[in-house]
Amino acid sequence: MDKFVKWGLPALTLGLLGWGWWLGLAWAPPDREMGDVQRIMYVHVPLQWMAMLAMFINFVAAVTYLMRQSWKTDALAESAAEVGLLFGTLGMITGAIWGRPTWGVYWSWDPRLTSEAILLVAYTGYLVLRRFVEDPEKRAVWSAVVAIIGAINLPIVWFSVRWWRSLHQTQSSPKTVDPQMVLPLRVAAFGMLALMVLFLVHRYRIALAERRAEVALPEALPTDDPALRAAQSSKVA
Amino acid sequence: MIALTSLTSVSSLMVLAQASSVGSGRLVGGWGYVGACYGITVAAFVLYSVSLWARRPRAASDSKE
Repeated sequence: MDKFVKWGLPALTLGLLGWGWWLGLAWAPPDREMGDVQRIMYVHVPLQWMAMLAMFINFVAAVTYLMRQSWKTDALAESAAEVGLLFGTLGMITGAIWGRPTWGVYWSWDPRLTSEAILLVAYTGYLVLRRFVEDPEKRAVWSAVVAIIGAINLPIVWFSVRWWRSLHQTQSSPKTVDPQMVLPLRVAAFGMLALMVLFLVHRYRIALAERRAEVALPEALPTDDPALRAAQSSKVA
Repeated sequence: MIALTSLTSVSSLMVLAQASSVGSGRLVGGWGYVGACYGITVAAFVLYSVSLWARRPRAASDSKE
């Protein structure tokens, strides 16, 4: 398993992403209306899908933590939030760049874009909260509650294009898209999935190591109390 | 009457000229936007990979010392 994470998964990621993006940039035809600009789809859409998936993993891990407390689920929730925020932010940036030539603006207060921005702010808040709370148990419980509240926005983001009149197009299906566009999108999406899993595994290992260090050596952690801090430094000396 | 016909012809030509400059209704070019999207994404992934590498758990190497 460790060998697969170290060598197999990076190779699979590079292979699938490289192949998918090559198909999207060189093999797929230009769009009837958007021309070559539409090729942004092969990076923007997989990024958004993986952001939603990572944030859903964060939600499941948070619920699991509240039902059965374990540092593993807490570490998984933290890693999924960070990875989801990375993919979501990149999805938003690439979407804004795509919006400029097609809509004429980088940003519009459209339901999809606004709900996505709120989602990113919520997950940024989640990670900030985790930085501010020093007690690992309190941090895990409070952040799990925030994760569950934040996840309410996930279906709102997904269905916003159907529920409200949106500048953003509704989800396409393979039936409505040229097969030569479906293949690169699928390959790039699987490549992005492999990358998301790779990032998640490495980030999870970091988070779990931090939790175990915190629990094993609570006195080694920095404290806000000056008296305790002085006592700690004298111990070290 | 001749003047009116000439005016109509001129306006028709102007419409045709506009149509030819618009093209077939498809966005032309835009490779800069495409390159920016892929470039920013790859750069962010590389930076994040470096950050994961920098934060990696070092318990195994410490225990050897």
